[in-house]
Amino acid sequence: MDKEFLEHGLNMNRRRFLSRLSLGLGSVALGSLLIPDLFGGGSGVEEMGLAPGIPHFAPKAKRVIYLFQNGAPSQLESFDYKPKLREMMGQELPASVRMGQRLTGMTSGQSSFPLVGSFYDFKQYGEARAWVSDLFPYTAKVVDDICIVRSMFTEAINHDPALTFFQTGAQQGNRPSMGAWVSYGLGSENKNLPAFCVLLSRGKGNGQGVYSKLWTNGFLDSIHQGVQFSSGESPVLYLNNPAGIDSTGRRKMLDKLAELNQLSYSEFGDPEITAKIQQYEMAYRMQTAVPDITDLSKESDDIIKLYGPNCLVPGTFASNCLLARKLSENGVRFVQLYHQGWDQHGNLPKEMAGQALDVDQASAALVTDLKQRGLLDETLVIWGGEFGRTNYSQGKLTKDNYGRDHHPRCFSIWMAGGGVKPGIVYGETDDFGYNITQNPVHVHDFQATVMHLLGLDHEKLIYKHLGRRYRLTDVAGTVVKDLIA
Amino acid sequence: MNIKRLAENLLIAANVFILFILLFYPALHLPAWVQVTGRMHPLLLHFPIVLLLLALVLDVMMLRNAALRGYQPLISNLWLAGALTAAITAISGLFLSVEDVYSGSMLSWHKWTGLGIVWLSSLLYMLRYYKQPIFMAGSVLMLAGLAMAGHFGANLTHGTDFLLAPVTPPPQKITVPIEQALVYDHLVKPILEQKCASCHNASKAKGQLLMETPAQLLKGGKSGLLFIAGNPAASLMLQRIHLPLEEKKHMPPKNKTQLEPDEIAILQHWIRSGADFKRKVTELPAEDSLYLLALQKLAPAEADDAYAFAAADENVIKKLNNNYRVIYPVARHSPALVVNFYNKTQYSSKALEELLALKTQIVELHLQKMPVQDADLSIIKQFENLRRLNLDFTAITGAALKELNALPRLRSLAVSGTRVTAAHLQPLAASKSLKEIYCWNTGITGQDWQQLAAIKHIRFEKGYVDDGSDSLRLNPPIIENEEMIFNHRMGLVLRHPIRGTEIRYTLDGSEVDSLHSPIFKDSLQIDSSFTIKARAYKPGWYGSEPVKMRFMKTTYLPDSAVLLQPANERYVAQGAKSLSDRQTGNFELASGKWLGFRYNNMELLMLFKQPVKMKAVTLNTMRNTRSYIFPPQLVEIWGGPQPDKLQLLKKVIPAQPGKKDGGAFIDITCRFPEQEINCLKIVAVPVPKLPQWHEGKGKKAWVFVDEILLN
Repeated sequence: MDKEFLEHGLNMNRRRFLSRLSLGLGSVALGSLLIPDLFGGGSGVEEMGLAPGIPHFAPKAKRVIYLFQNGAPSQLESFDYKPKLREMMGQELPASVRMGQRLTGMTSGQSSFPLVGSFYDFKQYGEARAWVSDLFPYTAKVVDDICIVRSMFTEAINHDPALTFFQTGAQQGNRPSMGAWVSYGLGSENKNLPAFCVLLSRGKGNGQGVYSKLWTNGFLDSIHQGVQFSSGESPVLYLNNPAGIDSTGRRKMLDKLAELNQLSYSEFGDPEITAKIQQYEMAYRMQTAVPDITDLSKESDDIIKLYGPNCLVPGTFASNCLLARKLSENGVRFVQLYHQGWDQHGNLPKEMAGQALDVDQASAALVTDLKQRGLLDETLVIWGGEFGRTNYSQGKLTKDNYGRDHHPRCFSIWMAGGGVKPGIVYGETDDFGYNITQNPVHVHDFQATVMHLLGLDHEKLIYKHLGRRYRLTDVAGTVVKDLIA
Repeated sequence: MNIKRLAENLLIAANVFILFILLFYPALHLPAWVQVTGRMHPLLLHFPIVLLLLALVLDVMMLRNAALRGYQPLISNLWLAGALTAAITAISGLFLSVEDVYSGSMLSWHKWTGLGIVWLSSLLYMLRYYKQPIFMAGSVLMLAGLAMAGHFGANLTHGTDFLLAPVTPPPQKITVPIEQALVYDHLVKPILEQKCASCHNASKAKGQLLMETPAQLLKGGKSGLLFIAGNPAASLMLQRIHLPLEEKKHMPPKNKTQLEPDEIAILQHWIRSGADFKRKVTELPAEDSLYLLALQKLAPAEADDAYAFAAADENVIKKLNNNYRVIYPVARHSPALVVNFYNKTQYSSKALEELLALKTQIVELHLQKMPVQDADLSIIKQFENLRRLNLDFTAITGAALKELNALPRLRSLAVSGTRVTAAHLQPLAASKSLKEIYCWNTGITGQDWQQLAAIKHIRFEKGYVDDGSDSLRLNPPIIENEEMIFNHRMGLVLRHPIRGTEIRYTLDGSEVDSLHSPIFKDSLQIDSSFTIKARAYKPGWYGSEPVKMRFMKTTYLPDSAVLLQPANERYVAQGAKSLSDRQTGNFELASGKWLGFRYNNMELLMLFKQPVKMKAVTLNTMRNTRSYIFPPQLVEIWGGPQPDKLQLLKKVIPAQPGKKDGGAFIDITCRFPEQEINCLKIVAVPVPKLPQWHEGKGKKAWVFVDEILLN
């Protein structure tokens, strides 16, 4: 009998099952309250990190203009003042300072490493009393608006890996560029322009190449690729309608093409097809937006004087700065400039003066111009190269001529606007300008900080590719809070 | 049974031991291993709580249900175990308290409630069935004791604010005006309150140190004085703060909220400046680090980053969003929206008005370069939560700007590039929220800026104004003509990228000056070889460097041409006809413009169907000594009616370069008396032996020619 009672107790009828189940469901529901996004948009992207297109938290900066000084300008003739190097001119670099730092193939054969001080004098400027060399008089004037970081360091010692590292977070190619990550993370602000634009210019100094892999979308969707604007008559190639086709004809053609593409999308479901449709549409809208932006002829006399006379000569750095401002104020998330010619292995005093003349006025002008339009608060401007230069001379040291080799252990960059603390000088190097003594900032830290300013958590902006989750900062990087206002 | 008796005996012994310790507490001195048992207190305390609660519940159940009587021995054992573990826990707790880690009123409360539990549970174990009311009262008392002792104990380890922290509003940022602020009260004290006082207070007093009042700070703690005024380096507080995080004596302890760098700086500078408790911030020197820190710390809170309004309907946002009116949230999960307008042809007041559906949520409105009219401001003023408004380069006159005072949270306004004047901006002084106005490139002039500067709480951004002090050199004019050789006449076109520049020029190679040289207009027709020199001038700028370029005329084109000796196979260009195609080359040798000769002479025959009157032949050659390229050693011009009846017209020996001469293009002109010819032969002989100074001395030199001009 007992056995039967037990059986009965163990057997569940439907009513009991359902009533128990409802309790269980209730507790599941209660639990789900603790997970806000459980039922909202469970896309694959969501699972990999946070949904792209919207900042993770309130951003300080909405846009970036990156004035990349390609070839690595010397920190010792720009922002890192080292009087001791002048005192010790020609003396040997102490081994205790060098600490076995590797050399490039260009100086590894050198039997002596004579220290060399800056050919140019330095003065202090602004409330921060920041030291700036005489080569950068205009930058010196805006020193209270910028934040100079003298303690950058990198892992690479040659141009291409160092540049790729700065732009993509890895020394080998194939990863998405910073601009592509930003485009992926924040999307385009103005749907009539690409989110990521690239402008090139070249100085007379010894140059290093730039390649389209630096503005690649890598494994991200191809709409995140940087769009290169050229200096010729049509800044964006293939944007103009061919002769004999007017815009209504073009519109009709695009509509038909979109229909066809839509058909093949519904058949195959390949997301690249929708990307293609979007790109055609954007190109169509760019046809009206781009000529308006690239036309610099309507800029006022004040603006021309601010940026310097070359700002109307297409293909110069000054003109690219002006164009960058126009693109940025029209909602381009990331404008990447490269100015080539900073690789002063020899003939530094002369070549660097020329390079500085190319960029100094326009870089400072960009900061001032954004500020007077009320846009500096929301636009981050970055100025700097891929590494620093040695404190000893490469090649023969004479009174007025020397060169400097690549130096990854310390270099200077500056940033302005976009929530960066203005008017500060961050980090310190030793008296020889060789090692960092205070507040080192690794390239990944820099990238993490830039992403943070844009409202993106660099650890959460992730893309899964070939079975691995990738991010701009790889597996490292700490946000440098000290730089953030 | 023996075990139970043993346990009962132990309980009695433990109680006696507790009384003993309490009696001789001040004299206790514990060996190290006993300290270990003391530190097991946080582990042991869980046993009596569970056991006593279990026993209590079973007892109550048994009282209500007679069928459970059989469990009485078990319940009794539970009571015993509970009382015994309570006693052991109390003993370990007493040991721990001797260590001086904790002191203060919180500790006393914990101690005596804990002891109360021991005694009450011991009594209840023995007397609980004596009378039911006694049992009930005792049980309630014990429940209360367990709750209290547990709570006080938790407060000791986690801090008093631990439990309610998630629902406690964060401390308000001090909003004391800098003029009234005191260094200690408003800078130092808040730090101590937030980061130190949770352990160093009257109820906890770790290390016998209290940090709540100036007197307590001056008194110091067990390890001595907290600080020495004026000597931060010798001050214990800063020494502890600067110890590495892993160090046991590092303060605040590793698992507590750490001090921020600026907080450490404040403490350090306060001690350095004498640790004054009464000093005002404004009494500090203006460059004093402490003063600068105070400015930062006491800046009025930006109380708008938390948006206290509900999010808008997704569908409304979606409907209003388009390619020219882009709406997006400030951040994920934020109800606040940013709106950007693009393309002025798409803008209308209606486009703005439609946004009123989101008037609570829009916090930023970017209308730069849109044809916004004054009337539109009456729409804009309804966006009640607007923080940022950009009206740069819009069509507003400024007259309606005062309407924006209706916006209670507007912080940043940009009106650069509009017709706004200072009089329009004056009324905005009444806004309590406005912090900055960007008004570069407007109708505001010199005098007005001083007026505006009187409005202290708003920063007016003036921007860059060309006041003439910044004199720059113009860049040179651009010569549009690309080909430097022309046939009969050419239209010279000069251009300058900057509007309103004046281009002055000379055609004879002489210097250009801003007074006498002719001004270039549109185009210039020229019919003989010339060298243009031009400079650009504009008021407010320095004149440009000159641009210089030589243009050369060639009158005749041969009907056919043939090379009697071949060009070097690497530099053949298009053969003989390249020499009369009016195309010149640059220093790139393989550009297809240059013909190169080294091991044989250049011998060129040119034929004309009709006789031509000729008086000069010019060879356009290159010099680049580093690449072994020299001018020819000898040039001969032969002419006549037909190829077999030629006579020597001219022989020229060009000057040879020295060691220091760099690369250049050199034209070698051979003039002869004018005569009619049908046939022309040109011979150029390469230098057979490079000079002694040259690294390739003794070797043959190259001759490079890209064009031959016939006049």
